[in-house]
Amino acid sequence: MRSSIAGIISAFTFFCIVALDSKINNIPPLGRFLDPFQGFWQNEVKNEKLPEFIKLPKMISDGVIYYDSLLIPHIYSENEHDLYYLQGYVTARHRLWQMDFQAMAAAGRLSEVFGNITVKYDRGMRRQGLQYGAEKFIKSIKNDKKMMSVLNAYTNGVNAYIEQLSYADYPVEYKFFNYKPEKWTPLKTALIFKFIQYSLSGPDYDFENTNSLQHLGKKNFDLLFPEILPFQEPIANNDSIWDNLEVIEVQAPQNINLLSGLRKHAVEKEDPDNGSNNWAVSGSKTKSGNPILCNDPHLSLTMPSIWFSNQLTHPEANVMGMSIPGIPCIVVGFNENIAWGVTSARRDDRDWYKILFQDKSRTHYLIDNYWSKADLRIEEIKIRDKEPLLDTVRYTRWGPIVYDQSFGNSDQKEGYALRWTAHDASRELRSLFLINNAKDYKEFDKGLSYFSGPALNFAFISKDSTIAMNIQGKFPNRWKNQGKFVLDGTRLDTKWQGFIPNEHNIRVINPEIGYVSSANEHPANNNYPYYHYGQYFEYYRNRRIHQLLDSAEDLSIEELSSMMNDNYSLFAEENLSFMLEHLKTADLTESQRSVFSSLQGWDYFYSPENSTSIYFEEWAKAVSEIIWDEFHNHPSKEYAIPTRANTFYLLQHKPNLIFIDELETAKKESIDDVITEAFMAACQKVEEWNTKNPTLDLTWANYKNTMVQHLGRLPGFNVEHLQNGGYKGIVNATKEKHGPSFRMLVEMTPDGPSAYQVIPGGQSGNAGSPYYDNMVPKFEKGELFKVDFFKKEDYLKTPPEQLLKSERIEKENV
Amino acid sequence: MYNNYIIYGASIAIGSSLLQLFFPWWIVVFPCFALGVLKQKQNFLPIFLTGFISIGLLWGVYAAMIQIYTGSELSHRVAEMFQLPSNDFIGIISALIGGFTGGLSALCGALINWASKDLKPVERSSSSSE
Repeated sequence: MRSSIAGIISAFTFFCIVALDSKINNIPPLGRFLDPFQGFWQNEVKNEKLPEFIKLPKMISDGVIYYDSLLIPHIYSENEHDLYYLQGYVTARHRLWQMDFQAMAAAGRLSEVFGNITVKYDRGMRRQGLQYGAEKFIKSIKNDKKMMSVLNAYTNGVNAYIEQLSYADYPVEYKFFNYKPEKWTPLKTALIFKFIQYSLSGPDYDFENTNSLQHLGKKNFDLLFPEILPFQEPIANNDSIWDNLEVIEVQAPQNINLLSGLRKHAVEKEDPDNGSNNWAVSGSKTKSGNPILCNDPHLSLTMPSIWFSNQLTHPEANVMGMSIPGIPCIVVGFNENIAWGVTSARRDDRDWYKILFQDKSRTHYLIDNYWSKADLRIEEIKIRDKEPLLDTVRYTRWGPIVYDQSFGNSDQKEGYALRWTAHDASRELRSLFLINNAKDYKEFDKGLSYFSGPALNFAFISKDSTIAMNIQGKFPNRWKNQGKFVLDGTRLDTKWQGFIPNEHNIRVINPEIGYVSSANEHPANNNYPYYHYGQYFEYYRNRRIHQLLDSAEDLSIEELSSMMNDNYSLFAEENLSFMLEHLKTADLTESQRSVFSSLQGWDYFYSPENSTSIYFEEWAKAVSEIIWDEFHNHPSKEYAIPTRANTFYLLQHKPNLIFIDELETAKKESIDDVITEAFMAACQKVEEWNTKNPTLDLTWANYKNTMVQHLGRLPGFNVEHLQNGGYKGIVNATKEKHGPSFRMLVEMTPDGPSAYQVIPGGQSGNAGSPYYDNMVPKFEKGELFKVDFFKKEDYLKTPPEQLLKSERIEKENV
Repeated sequence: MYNNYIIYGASIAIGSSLLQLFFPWWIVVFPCFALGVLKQKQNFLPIFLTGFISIGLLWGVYAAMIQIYTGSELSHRVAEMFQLPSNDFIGIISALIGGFTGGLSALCGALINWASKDLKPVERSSSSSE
C-alpha cells in the first residue's frame, strides 16, 4: 500500500518534470524556460555582456573591435581572413537566431521547429527551388578561391561563436521554441542571398495577368494595365544615351496561343511594396559642395532588425555600412572613397511555363512534340513531432514545377514550371566584395557586373565628385510581353533568348540636373531598346523626390535627411480636388460635412498627428475597391487589380469609361455615385475605428498603427504603436508593418565619408538588451544618428573615450 | 524545532545553486529528493514545504535580483507574451514552478523512505539501494 502511494506520487512528479522540460503546442518548456540560472532570465542584460578580451581559434593575427554607443562594432584586423572571421563571429554574437532562422526559412525547413503549421510554407520554398539555386551558387563559388576563402572565414567565425555557447547563452528564441542553434555553412549564406531575391522578385503577377486577360480581352486589359502612364518620370530620362547601342534583337515566336493560368497562388507572396528610395546629389546642389547619398530600403519591418551595421577595416581596405546577418561584406554602405545605396528595380525575372504531362504519373512532359523526362528531386520535410513528409519536385528544362497536382493545382496532367534567374549560377558575393573595396566609379561598375539578382538600382557617389545610378541585374532579353503572362512550356521557342548584355544595362552618370534618384519606378521610357516589363512600378515617390530636388540648391544634411521622412502625398495633390468635385455634397450628414471641409483645407501631408489623411486614405482605398470589386472578391480565382495610379488616371482622363457600371453591377453608376459611396464608406470605417478605440486620439499615426513584428511572431517581442507618418506612395513609405528598414545618409567629404543612419530597431537581436530597439524613438521622428567612421590609425592608438567597449581579440594557441 | 528545516532548506538552496551552474534546471530534483530520503521523521508537509520554499525562494530571489539589476526589459516582453498583466508575475511563476519541482521531489524522497519501512526486512535492504 505504502509503496504504491509512493510509486504514484513519484510517477506524477516524474511526469511533471518531463512536461516542464518539453514544448507543448505554443507553450515553451516552462521549467527550462523560467529557470533563472539558465532560462530566459539569463538573456536579460543591463548593458550588453561584452568581454574586454577574447581568444579565438583560427585567428591568424590579432584584432580589435570598437563598439560605439549604438553597439555598432568597428572591426579592425591585420588581414582579410581575420576580418571576415570576426565579422562572422560578431554578427553571430548579436544576431545568431535571426540568421539561423532565415536560412532555415529559405531552405524550407521551418517545420522542423514549428511543426505542421509551416509545412505549406516549406513546400512552397522547396518547390520554388531556393535551395537548388543556393547549391548552384556554391558550386560556382568553389571556382573562385578568393571568395571561397572569404566565405569560409565568415562561416568559421559564426561557428567559433556557436561552439562556445552553453544553453544559458542561447538567444532567447531558441529557449522559447526549444531547439538548438545549428552550425553555419557556406550553403546557408547562399540561401540567404536567394531569400533576398525571393523577397524582392517573388511577387510576380503572371497568373493574375493571365486570368485578367482571359476575362477582359486584350483591349480592356491594356486599358487597365498599361505598362507606363504618360505622366511617369522614369529613372533614366535622357533619350539620347541609347542611340549608339548595338541592340541584340529577339524574335517573338509565331502563333502563340493564350493559355489559361493557375487560378490562385497556393503560397502567400511577399509584400509587393518591397522597394526603396535612393538619391545621390552632386556637390553643385549641396551647401558643402560635397556629394551626398541617401537611401532607405522598404521591407517588411521585423525584429530583430533586418540590417546589422558594422565597419570592416584592415590595412588595405576600410568599409562601413549595413550588412545582412548571414552574408559576409557590407551590402549597402561606404568606404573612404565611395558610397552606394540600393533600391529594388522590380524588373520581372520570374516566368511561368505551363507544362503538359504525358500521364498521371507525371514523369514525362511534352516539349516540341517529344516527351521529355523530368528530373525528380525528393524533398524530405522534417516535421517536429511528426513523420517527415516526402515531396517530389519535378525539374524540367525550364526549372522546377512548383504547381502540379500535388500542390496547388487540380488538373492531373498540368503543371507550372518556374524559370527564375535565381536558379542560375551567380556571383553576388564577388560583386559585394569588389564594391566594398572599390575606389572609384570604374571599379564600382566593374564590381557590379557580377551582380545578377535581385535586380537593384544602385545609386553612387564618390570622392572625385562622380554621381551615378546603375540599374543592375541579369535581365532576360525578352520580346514584347514575354513573361507577362503564362508561357507555353510545350514549345521550346518560348524560352528566354539570352540576356541583355551587361554593358547595355541602364546607367546614368553625372547628369546635368545634378542628381540621380530611384524609387522603384520605370527604369526608362520606351526609347530604351530592350523590353523591360516590371511587376509593379512606382508613380508617386519618384516624382515627389524629383519635385523636391529639381529646384533645390544649397542642400544641407538636415534638409536631405528630413526628405527621407517627407510625408507629402503627391497622389493626394493630384486627385483630391477631383474627388471633392465629384462628391455629392447634398447627401452628406453634419459630421460628413465637417470631414468634407477639413479635406478642402488639407495640405496633403500624412503627418503623424493629422487626421484628415485618414479620411483621404480610406476614401481613395474605397474608390478602388468599389470600382474593382469583382476582381477583389472572386472566391477561387485571382485577378490582377489595377494600380491606384491607373485607377485615378482613368477616372480623371477617361471620364466616360464605361467600366464603372459595365461590370456586373446591378445599378448603373456614375463617377459621382462611386465617389460619394466611397466617401460614405470611408467615414463609416473611421467611425467604427473611433468606437473600437475610445481612448485613442484619431490621428494618422494611431490609426495606421505601425508595428515592427518579431520574426518568430512572439507577441511581446514586437515594437508597437510607432508614432510615424507617411504611407505607401509617399517618400516616407512607413505602412502598417512595412517601411524603411533603415535610413542612411552619407556625405563624401575630401577627408572621407561622414555618415548618418538609423534603423527601426537596434543593433542587438536580444529582446532583453537595451540595444534591441533603442533607435526606434529617433526613427519615429525621422532623425538620424551620426556614426563614427574610424580610420586605420585610430585602431592603433588608445581607444577613444566615448566608446561603449573596446575589445581585443587574440589568436588562441591550441 | 524549525531550525533544522531552515538548515536543510539552506543547504538545498546552496547545493542547488551550485549544481545549477553546471546542469540543466531539473538538477534541483536531486538535493530535494536526498533531503526527503535522508530525513528520518515522516512529516510530509514540512518536508514538501522545505523543498518548495527553498527552491522557490532560490529561483524567486535570483529572478528578482536579475530584474532589479537589469531593468527587466525582457521579463516585460515575456509577461506580454504570456498575456500576464505585469512582469512581477513572471518572477512569481518562475518561483512557483521551481518550488513545485523542489517540493514534489522532496516529497517523493520522503514517500520512498516511508514506503521502505513498510516492507519486510529482506526486501528493505534491497529497496534502500534504489
